[in-house]
Amino acid sequence: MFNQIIDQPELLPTNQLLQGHLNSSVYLTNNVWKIAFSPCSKYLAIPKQDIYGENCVLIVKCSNWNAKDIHTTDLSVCQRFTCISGIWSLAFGQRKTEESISCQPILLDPNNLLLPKTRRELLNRRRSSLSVVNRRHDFTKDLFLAAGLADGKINIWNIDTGELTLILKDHQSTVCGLDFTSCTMQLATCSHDTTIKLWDLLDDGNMYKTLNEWTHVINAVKWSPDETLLCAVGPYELVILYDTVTWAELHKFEGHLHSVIDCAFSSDSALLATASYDTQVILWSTVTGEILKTFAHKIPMPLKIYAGGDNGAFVRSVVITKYNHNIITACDDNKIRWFSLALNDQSRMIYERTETNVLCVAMTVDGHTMAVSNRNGEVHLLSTLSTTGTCHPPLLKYFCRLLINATLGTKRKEVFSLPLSQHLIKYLIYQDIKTK
Amino acid sequence: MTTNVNDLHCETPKNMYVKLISSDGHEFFIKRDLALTSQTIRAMLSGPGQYAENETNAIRFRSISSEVLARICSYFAYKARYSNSTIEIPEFPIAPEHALEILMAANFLDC
Repeated sequence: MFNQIIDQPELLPTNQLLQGHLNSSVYLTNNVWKIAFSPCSKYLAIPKQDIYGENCVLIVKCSNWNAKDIHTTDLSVCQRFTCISGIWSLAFGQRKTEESISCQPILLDPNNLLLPKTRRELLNRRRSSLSVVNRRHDFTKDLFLAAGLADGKINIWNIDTGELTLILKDHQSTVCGLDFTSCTMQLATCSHDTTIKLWDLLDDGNMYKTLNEWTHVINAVKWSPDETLLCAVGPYELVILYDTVTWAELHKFEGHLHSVIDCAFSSDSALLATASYDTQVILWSTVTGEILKTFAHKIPMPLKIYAGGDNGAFVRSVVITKYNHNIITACDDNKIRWFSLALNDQSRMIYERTETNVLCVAMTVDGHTMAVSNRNGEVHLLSTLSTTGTCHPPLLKYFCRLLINATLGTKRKEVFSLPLSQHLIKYLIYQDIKTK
Repeated sequence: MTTNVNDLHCETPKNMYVKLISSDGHEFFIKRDLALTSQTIRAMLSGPGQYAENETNAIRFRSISSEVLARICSYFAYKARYSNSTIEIPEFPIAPEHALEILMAANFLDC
């Protein structure tokens, strides 16, 4: 069975090198709230604070995080960016050209060619007549890092040249979450000033939309990998999904009992995992809006009065691994847990690891390495090669499901009208992993 | 997987190869142990004399076209190559226009 853990996730040899860089006496032991890997999996961004009180982001570059021999690796701190105020959120963004995006041919019906299925197509159509030459900044080629600061500004640095390319100023208060789309350099930011703002970096950082329907902070925003959905999570159990083409509210998910702090999409955008202070991670279907699985971090489940209050097991961070085999969570009871998504009907934890004061979990896009950060200013690197189901290739049905869901895009409700048997349609909307 | 006719006959000693025939008559000769990745084919070939395929080591699929069957045979090879592998497993590419048919065939073949 491909989702058994064969080897335990181990600290990598490169972890030692990383500690050497981070533990130098220049840096204070700050809470490392967020870390981020770049889309090419080579760079890791870590916010730190040095003894002079200056806030900075360290960019660590390594071509192979899983290298066995630490003497031949090229792990090094390649950039150090400084900023005026504290860093609350980080995200890497890089434009992917059309050749490297898998093309989206028609799955269902040639007549649907006229309607844009994904946000990518809509933007490409709108922008096909605009040229890059007239733009002040060129965001089309390099790798960029955006950092949301405590004073409401967003700094965007070019990783290759090291220059501060742009500062986006519109939020009135701390920018606590931000996310780039995977291909088109759109940035979504959320802030303590209760709004979500959307910026188009290919249009010189133009802020084209503000969503301000709330009177409380929004904790995090995430784009779905196919860019058709935007998920926003916040206190008062808020989990909301927007359609990115029309900006209509698609689903408002009910089920959490406390503030929701983090969310993650599966690679085909059909599943959404949300992590909350109520000790649960809930897996939702983005097609039907129902709860598929609930992962508990405190067993037995606390009573509602504790789930909604101080229970000592807030779940801080969640990631879904490559091919959607596992979910990895970081919880305030000092443990990182792996849950299997592919085991039907069960929400069992398959592995756990102790990590004191853990705050954030991040995974590389290629699925080989993960990094965890904690309140002591440390970042640890772990190998995930043995746990992401890479001992056995996934089933052919699995690949078909990923491809069909990824291609449906905004037309995901049309999965019900595909010429397939009921059993297969249920398989496509992940009913097979739903807890009975 | 090979579609050469010159060195294969279904009745090779030890029945090393089996023949899969698509709906439009294309014949695919693949190694028996690769074909046994599919639980359905395994049942067809080893069931106690219920299926005629048991005798001739050939299976005809009236509902699977040749492009889909070719991709399925590639998947058998991919699965055998990367099972219990220590190196990184690459993604198995599927053309989107065949995705629905491959899903139906994969569901039927249980692989």
